[in-house]
Amino acid sequence: MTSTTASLLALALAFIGMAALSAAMDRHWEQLTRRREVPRLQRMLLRALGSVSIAVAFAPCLFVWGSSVGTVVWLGFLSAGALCVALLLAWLSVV
Amino acid sequence: MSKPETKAAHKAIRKKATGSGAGEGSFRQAQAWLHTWCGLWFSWLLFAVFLTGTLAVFDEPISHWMTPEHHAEEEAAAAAPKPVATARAQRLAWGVAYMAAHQPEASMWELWPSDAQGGGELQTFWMDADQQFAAAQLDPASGRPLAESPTSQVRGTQAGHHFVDFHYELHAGAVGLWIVGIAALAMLVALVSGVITHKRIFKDFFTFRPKKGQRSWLDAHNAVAVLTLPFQLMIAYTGIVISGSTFMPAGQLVHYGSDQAAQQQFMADRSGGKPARSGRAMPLPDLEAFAARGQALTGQPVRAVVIDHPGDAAARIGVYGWNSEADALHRLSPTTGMASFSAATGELLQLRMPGAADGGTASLAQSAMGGLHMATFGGWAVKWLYFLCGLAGAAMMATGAILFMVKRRGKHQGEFGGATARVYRLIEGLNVAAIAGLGIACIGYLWANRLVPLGLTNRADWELRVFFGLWLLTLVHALLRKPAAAWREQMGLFAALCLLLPVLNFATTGDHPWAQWRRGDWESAGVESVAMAFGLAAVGAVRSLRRRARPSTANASKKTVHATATSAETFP
Repeated sequence: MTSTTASLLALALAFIGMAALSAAMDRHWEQLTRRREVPRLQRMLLRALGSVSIAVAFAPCLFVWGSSVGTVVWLGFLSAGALCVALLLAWLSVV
Repeated sequence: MSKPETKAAHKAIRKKATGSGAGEGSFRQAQAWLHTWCGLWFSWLLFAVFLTGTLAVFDEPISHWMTPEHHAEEEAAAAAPKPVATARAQRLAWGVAYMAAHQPEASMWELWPSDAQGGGELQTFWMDADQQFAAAQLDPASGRPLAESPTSQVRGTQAGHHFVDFHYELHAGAVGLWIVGIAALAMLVALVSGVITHKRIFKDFFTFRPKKGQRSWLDAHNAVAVLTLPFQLMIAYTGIVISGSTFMPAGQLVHYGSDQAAQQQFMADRSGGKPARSGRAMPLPDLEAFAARGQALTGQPVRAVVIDHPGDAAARIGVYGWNSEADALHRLSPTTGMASFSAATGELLQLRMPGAADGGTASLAQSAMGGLHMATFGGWAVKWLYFLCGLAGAAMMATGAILFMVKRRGKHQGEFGGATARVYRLIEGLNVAAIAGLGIACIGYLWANRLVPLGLTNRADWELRVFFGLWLLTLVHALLRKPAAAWREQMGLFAALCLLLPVLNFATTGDHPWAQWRRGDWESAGVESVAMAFGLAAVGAVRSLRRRARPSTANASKKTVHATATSAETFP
């Protein structure tokens, strides 16, 4: 795996994870579905999906950069993914 | 997974706490006070440190863009057939011959025989009589000294290094380092107090509600800070640690004393100590044998051979390695392998493996933190992540400073007694100059690189004068004009300077994006694309400032009081 592939993969997984975690919150669930509260099962599934993809995002980082640099890179991609989600949700609330 | 029972229990506890006394509330209020004032007074300086520090991530591409005379040279070097690589033994022998002929008195010789593949340049360095580093380049095919490249002095410039230097010492040496260090400490205080003040840190984790005045500024401030919090804590902390021995000199002063000799001794000891000159002459042995042993011990190809006290019986030979790309990808600590030998006996004096540090675990920790701060590891992905998180940090300072004023435009809080209105006006002006003004100064610095006449003596200083001069002018402008107009005009100028950068480059050097793309010059193309991206963002900012200004001026004729309140709420 090249570092470019790993970067794209980690960013995508971090974005999916953060997006799932945000969708599990009432405010953003409402933005996405127009329904007020996240049903219990959906909330659980979304949180599970979010946590798992954030954890899995560590794999490509570990594989290409090793444990010490990989941890730094992973945290960086989590921030980047979360920023993308925040911007996307803001954009959804405007349009 | 939080169970509803525990949630309810938490709520009850919280209710009890707030109900039974003002303990938590007043602690939070105290933290909010600390966050506001600590943040405000340092935000302008920290914004400057963050913006230039973020640009410093890409100091090499910026330097490349700023030295266009080298482009043709690099292209020719890449296209020319590689000269037959001469053996390292030969290169080292030529280096020694040159140094013996030209610098026999120097106390230190440093030979860089080749790149990691055994080809490339042959360079020599030494410490001259004034303790200054000097260099000469030799022809790797003949060993004869090369005349200094005629283009290297054409465009005197500090190039991208200006941003590196400014962001940690403000071009003011030790004084600047202390100022930035104190600001970094203030930033840590503001981060911690900010986290404590932020009541809805998880509930508002992804929340950014645009176009809602004060609410939007607070959302933006929270979002960029919370989402990049690990980076912000790390970068401020490691920034302080890098200069730890300056900020906390007690240990060094006690053990070594405070004069210059003590300082030199300290530096020498940190890098493994320097042997004393014996006074007995001894010809330098063949270096290749040492280089080969060093390479075998560290497992890295030879980057440099350093000789302390050449020609003396106490001479020491240090062999330094090249870090491979894989090393840089995996290791936080950027040190290379090193082995040093006694020239007389050949005895191994010291061995440092790649990534390790001289001086034990504390040194290694510092080395890793230095690498962590300067993003020497991990390749391009890490550089872009640092760039993004650095910009988020700058945005955190900017939105914080703006939020302070947006909050107070509607209603005065009278913090400064009778002078409140004047202090607010000053803060408004400082906000414009520190944020938009610095942007103008930074992009103006790139313009100066193309527009300052080439023949000027001390040309590099003139580029810096343009940088600081522009910044000062933006402050004057920001204090003279009404805040809303100042924001609009400065953001407009910033946008224009950014968007026209490729035009300027084409007009002055004839280079253009298509040519950059064709020759694969991603560094130049990257600098111009990022500048244009900044320009487009600024255009967006100007447009939204205009949109907000218009209705309020339309209202002004009818309801003056109301209009000032709306415009006060909305522009930055």
